[in-house]
Amino acid sequence: MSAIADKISSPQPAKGAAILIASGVRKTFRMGDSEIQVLSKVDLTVAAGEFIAIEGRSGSGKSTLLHLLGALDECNAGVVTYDGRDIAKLSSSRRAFLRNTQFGFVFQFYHLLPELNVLENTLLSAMIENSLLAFRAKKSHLRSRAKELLTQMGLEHRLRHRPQHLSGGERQRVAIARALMNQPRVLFADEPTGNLDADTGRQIMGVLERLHQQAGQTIVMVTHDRSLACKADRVLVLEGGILREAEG
Amino acid sequence: MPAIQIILWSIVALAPLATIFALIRILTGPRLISKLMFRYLFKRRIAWVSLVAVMLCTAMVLIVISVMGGWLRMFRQTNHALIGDLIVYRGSLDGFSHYQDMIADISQIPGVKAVTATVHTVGLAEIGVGHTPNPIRTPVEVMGLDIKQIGQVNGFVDSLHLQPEVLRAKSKEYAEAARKEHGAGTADGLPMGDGLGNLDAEKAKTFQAKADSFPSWQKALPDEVYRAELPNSRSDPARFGGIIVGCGVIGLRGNDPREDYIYRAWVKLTLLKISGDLSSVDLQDKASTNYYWLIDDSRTGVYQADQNFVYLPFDVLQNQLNMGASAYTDANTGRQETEPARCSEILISVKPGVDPYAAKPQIAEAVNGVLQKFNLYYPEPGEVRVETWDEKQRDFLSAVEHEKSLLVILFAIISVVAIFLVFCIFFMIVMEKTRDIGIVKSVGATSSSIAGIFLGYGLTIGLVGGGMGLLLAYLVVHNINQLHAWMGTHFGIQIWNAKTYLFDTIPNTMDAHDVVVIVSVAILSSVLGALVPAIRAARMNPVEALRWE
Repeated sequence: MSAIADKISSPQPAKGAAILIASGVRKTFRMGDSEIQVLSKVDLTVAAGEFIAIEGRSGSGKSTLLHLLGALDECNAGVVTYDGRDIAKLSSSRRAFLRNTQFGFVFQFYHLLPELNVLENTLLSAMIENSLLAFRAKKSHLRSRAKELLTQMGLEHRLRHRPQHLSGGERQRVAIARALMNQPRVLFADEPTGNLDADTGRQIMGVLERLHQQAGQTIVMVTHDRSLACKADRVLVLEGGILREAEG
Repeated sequence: MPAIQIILWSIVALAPLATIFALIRILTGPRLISKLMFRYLFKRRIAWVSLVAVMLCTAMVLIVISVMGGWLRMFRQTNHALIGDLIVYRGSLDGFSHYQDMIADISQIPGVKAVTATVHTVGLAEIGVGHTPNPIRTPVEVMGLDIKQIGQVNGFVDSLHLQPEVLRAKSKEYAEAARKEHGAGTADGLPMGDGLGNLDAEKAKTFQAKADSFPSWQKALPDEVYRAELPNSRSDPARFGGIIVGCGVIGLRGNDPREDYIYRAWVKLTLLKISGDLSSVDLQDKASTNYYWLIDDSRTGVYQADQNFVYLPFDVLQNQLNMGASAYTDANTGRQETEPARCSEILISVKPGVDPYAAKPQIAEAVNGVLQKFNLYYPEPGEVRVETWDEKQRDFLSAVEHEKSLLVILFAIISVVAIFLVFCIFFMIVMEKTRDIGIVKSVGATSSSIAGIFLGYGLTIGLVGGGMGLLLAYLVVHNINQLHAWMGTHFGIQIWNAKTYLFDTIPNTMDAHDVVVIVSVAILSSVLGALVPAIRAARMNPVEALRWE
């Protein structure tokens, strides 16, 4: 895993340039007759090459914020812009394109497809990006890239295995490989160690840290664990629907 | 158009649109569509239930339609083959006169290929070999026909068992037997044995002569065979003419082997003659009972014809029925007059490519011309009619066509059941796969790609289920007679009754048009069943789908 910086060549903007900006974001959910406000007024700027950790208790709206930033959901008020474009104003297919080519997601519960093996799960975003014929034409290139990523994750011996036959840590590493397949500009990690034991969690954090340090990967991670959040360049706290810089 | 019809037609129109959409998405959409589509097909066993349902529905409808459509087709073909293209007839046993003039005029019509007259009556047949105490006694329908001419008009000649190749084979067989008999003879080459060699040689000659003159009324065996059958060995066997019987009349089925003794059988035929004034049946006329030699049997495939018909030469039957030309003295004028000959029907065939319906008006005109010329008037319902072969059978055909329409409605109901089944199963699969849909959407799949996965899945179920249904139906239909015989032997189940269905075998062919329509409907039904679950899947919010428990 030491050669990640050499192997993964994400197109990165000038370090420090803002690529993802949330301003005045508000999100509410309707529960029957009542309305629950999860995010009141969130402002956030994600700069290229930055590793941001968003900390907060369970139910504080961390995942919701991540979904809004990653074009998976829409806010009730405020604006989320990516490269200066308002995500809410993009068509659903353009948003899908963003998720496929610009963003990568790593979830707490791995979210691998049980019908596909490790290699196929890693190839998922490439299979969405390419048509039947295009995929066939690029098949060997795409497969070798997926194999490379899996080798870097230490899973070269697990290519044909199905997710249900892997340990939690292995599944999460497959999820990271899948997220990196299309060389995303921003990697969103939603409690990536939340379902793992302490040792395995440290290993996964090590992968993310190396990605950031060696390949300059922009990462936005949410966690409730202060010790993990400390690994990031910048730690923010989400509390009462408001995002603020962590103290100390 | 009522609202319900608009809704129904919209649903029907949706199926091909959804199928085209699925095909386009599979071919041009993301690789993931085909990947997940096939993976779900093989990994989700619940989908196999819908696959089996589509297969069974397709097979069931194909089998029923093939048997029913095949029956209808066979009925049309055999009736067409029995009648010819057009028929001129009267709904009366005494027939109509001046048929020779009609034949002459009809023959002049450009599209007409051949014309022949027939006579019909009913009678009682007694059939036996030698002095059998238990001859077959059965009522029969008797048809008089010109055997040389009828082959030009319909398929009767093809229905005869003793076809030229059969006759030649028999001739060869007897010639071989005769050669062996002679070969084992004395050193000077003269026959030794009991003279069987000579008889075999005679049989060989007779079969060969019958083959050469095919089709003919010539007897199948040498005179000395028939002479041996007669009570008085000095009687002349030539006094008895030849008769052809439907194979069922002598208890044979189409493929039963024919022993040569069949052609030594005699037929005592008593005809039902109508009295001169047409007011009664004349059974006292001794001349109405005659003996014939059974010279061949016919297997048209139509149960009623094969079980009931016997065939005589046209002029023989015509004379027996007193329908030939006869001289009489007019009681009023005292002058010698001639009663013209009569026939029951005129059968007509048209040249290839000529529509019988197009030829019909000209034929009707020719017939009416003769009727007017000779001042003939046959009041209804016994008027002379000109009809095409299918018009003659219209009552029966339309009834069966209606039954087929009912079957189509039944098919529609079955399709609805299949659609509903696919819908339920797909709905279950979409519910079960909600989180997967969220995952795939989070990685960038569009809503149309998600819809493409499930529509393609439905399309695959339809294609595979329809294909398997077609295979199953083909195996069943192709072997339906053997299956039926097996069911009869092992379980005593006899579904097909030749008396009811007219044919002694169940139709075992599939119509390409029916196959295309039914398999297409099966495919479209599957896609239609998957449509609502696919739309539901496509509209899922990725975040909600990811949180699905």
